Amino acid sequence: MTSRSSFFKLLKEDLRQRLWTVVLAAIVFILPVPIYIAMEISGSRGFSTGMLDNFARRLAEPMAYSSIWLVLVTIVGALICAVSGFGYLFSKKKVDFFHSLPVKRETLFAVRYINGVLIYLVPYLAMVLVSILIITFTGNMKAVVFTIVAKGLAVHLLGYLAIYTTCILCVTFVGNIVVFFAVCGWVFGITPVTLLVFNWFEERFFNTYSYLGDSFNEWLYSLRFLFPGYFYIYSVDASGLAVTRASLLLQELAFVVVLTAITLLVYRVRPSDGAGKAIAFPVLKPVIRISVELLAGALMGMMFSEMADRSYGVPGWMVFGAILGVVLSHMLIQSIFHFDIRKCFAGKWSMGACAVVTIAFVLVMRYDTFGYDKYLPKERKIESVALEMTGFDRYRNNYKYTGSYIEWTNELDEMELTNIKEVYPYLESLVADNEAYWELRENGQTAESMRVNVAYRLENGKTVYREYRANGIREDLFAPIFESQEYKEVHYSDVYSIPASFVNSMTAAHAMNVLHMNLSTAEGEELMSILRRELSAQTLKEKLNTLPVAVLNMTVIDRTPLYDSDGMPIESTYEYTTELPIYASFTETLRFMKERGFTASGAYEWTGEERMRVELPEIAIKDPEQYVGEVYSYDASVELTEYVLAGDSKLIESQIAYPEDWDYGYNVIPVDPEDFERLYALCTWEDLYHYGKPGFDRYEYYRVYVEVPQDGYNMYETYRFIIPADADLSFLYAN
Amino acid sequence: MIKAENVVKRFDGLLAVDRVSVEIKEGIVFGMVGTNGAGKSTLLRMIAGVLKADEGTITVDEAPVFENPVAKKEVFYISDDAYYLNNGTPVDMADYYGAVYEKFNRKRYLELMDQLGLPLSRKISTFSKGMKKQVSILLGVCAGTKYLLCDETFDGLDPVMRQAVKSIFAKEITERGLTPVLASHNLRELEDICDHVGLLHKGGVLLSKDLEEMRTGIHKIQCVFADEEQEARVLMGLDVVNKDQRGRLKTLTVRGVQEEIASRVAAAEPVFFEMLPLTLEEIFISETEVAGYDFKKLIL
Repeated sequence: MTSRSSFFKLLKEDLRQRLWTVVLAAIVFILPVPIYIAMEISGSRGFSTGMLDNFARRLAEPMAYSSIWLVLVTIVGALICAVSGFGYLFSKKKVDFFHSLPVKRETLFAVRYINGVLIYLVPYLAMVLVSILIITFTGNMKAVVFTIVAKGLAVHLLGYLAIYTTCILCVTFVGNIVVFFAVCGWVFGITPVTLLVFNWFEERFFNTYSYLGDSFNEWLYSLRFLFPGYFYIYSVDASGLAVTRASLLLQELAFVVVLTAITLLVYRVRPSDGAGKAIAFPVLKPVIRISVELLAGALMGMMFSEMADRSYGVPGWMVFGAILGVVLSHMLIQSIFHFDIRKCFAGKWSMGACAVVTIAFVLVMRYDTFGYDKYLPKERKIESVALEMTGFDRYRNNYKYTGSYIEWTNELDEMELTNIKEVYPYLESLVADNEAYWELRENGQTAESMRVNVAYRLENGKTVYREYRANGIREDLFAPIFESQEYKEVHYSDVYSIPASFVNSMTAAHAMNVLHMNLSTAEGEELMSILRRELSAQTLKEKLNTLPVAVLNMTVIDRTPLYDSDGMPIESTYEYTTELPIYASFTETLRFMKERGFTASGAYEWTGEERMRVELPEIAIKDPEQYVGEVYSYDASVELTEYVLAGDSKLIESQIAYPEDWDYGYNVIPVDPEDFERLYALCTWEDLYHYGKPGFDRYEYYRVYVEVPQDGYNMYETYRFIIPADADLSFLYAN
Repeated sequence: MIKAENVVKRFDGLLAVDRVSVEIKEGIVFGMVGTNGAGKSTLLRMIAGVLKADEGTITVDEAPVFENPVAKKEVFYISDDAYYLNNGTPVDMADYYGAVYEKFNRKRYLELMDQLGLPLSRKISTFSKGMKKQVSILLGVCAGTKYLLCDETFDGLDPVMRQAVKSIFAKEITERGLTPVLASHNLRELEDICDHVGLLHKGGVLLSKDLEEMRTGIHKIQCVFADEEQEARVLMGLDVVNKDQRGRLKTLTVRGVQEEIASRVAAAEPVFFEMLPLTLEEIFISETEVAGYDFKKLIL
């Protein structure tokens, strides 16, 4: 037994031996931060009282959890203290010295471990004390400083303990300093790198892989206890995590306690003759070697695939890369383990087995052997589904009022379609469409498609994300989904969630016909109530097959006070504009607007000051020969194989003959004022197309631009219109 | 007493110590001889509690030594390549050991350092190899342990210093029953200091005997016989282990009681006859030959 006094004597003697780390810690902690604070104070005199809170916050920033300097010091400090305390295990003569002493291993461990913590903690606290004294005596102290410092201390100290203990564990695993760094890299890197490589394979070979799923972070969170740096990294930057920082810190504390116990156990059973060897525990060698070989094989297989095998043919280069990765990593590791290059091929059979497993893995991923892309959970196992269709209602803004502020949301995160019976046939069609689409692509054909992201929320609590290529909207299957309240409340989340009392003004528009007016609270509430009712009642049929008749913009102002993460109020006024297409079925809304002077039509009285021009349609062509003589390429030398101008050929000729001083492009035709009204009668306001015909390509139409002079300015406001390519515009060149 | 019973130790499958059983009694100087790789250092490291035996037991005063501070308090180990604290002086080393060994005699340490003329506050890293060994020995002697394990510690000490160390040992043995265990590959280094010697070879103990006992059981005679008949008469009654001849001068190594051998040879009235002392090396040659080994190949 070691008495308390000899324990403290040992602490003291050990500390004397590690004096250089104490001095280093004192320098990096006590000098930079207080000096920075003092400089900030001396450089910013004359702040008003109202600014003091923010200034105090700024002064405390170098001690906050997000302080990059402290993160750097913590990581490097943990590494240095682990090596300075336990690096003796690399030297036979030091091991003989310390392990022959009449001191239990636990005591030796405790002495060195505690000193390693004190070397970090004491200068840290000294830095805090000096900084607080400076802030206080210069009259800048605010309560928020203590909050910031306390949070910073909790995050950095726990982060230090996690990294420090892991480094000690790495020291006990090995008997050589160079191998120590390699094993540190393995311990800290194997989990995230493996996940990254796996994620890379998913992205590359699985057509339905969805970036929205963020599987890397999800997996990393699941395996966080195998990644010693996880808690520290994410407690410094917890943005985007589902858990709170406090929860992370508690988990980190549990992690540190368990890891310390494991490290002590490993330290106790570590054979003293491990000093000087590459790995002190022979059982670890195959674990490290095989994991690295498999990973290196997969990684190099993928790299070769990316470099040389981007087609969907036989993945020869990928297999070659996989073999090369396994062989090279095997040679490297065996040379290190044996400290002898001649032993680089030791364990050939094991290397061969690793190569076979790696090849099997890359091929399984390449050919999606386990049917990732065909995945569709059983109907009864799905709790809810969320859908997000790119191209459908593409101008919708997914803002939502959370109850305290307005924030951007994601339909996949928010939506919960629970009537699975109604949704399932649509999901089946997505899987089938997707398969057909990629089959065409692999056969070198092109296919039209729209992306549909799906989040399956399963009964077991998991959420699975997929991105499908759908062949259009599938009106029959999608209608029951679109017309459900569950869908609409998320799809139009701003209209349904933002309190009506926030509505401040509205702008109703149909081309040049615009009405802007402020709304009273009662008017705002009435408008929101009507809109919600009429949006809920709108059918998919109307949405897909008719154009809106107007566009409504509403400005909402959120004056709810906000608080920062330290509980301090932030002055905020959030102004947000929501935009909605108004359809013919929105009779109450149209009545509301009409009562205030807006009729949903594009009627316009010409003043003679306007200008108008037409741009010719373009069509993407598959066979240029087919169009020779009928249409003209606007840039024959470059783009003939991609686009040609379509439309009336005489119109094109008239344009070509137009005076040279016309400063628009050669596919642009100016319109004579006498033709304005006739041409305008054929026009549809392009904004209505954007809402009513999702995915339409404006370049396949005649594009008409009306330029209206602005009062008092020598400037024009441009309005854009669309005319179908088959329209008869011969009157434009009749004169 | 230090007792090792059927101790086995392997390193990466290589057998370093093979079923060694040895007893080291208190109050003697125990010499452990063997070639490089014989297992001396491994055995000492196990006795010091640095290594754990794969099989068998090692006890110090009947208590297992590995991870047992109570037993280890009675053992001080000086390795063949001793470690000194970074930038440490002899005083720093004394401070460190003082924190660990409760009976560390700092006063005596300072006295002995002074006696041997070693500087107290100079960094040990600047010391010569011999000076470092002296510091190690003094630290070991003053640690107050019952057993002092020295691995190749006398290698590098000059004869004067060896005598000084011997006298320090003698004093410690007399005053408090210190038991030094000295391991060396060089038999000559141990010859004048050990009471008991164990011979290790290929991880096992070939023999372990009291030196005095060995010395009384074997003798060297130089003699010149008048003729072959006389020689045959004398040799017939003796247990001759080794015979060497230069001209007419014969050197015989003979087992038996000294007085009996002397009277038997004298009775034959040879031309010349003299009893000579045996070196430890010669004793070992004869002892290992009995065991069927060629000692010269083992150790010289």
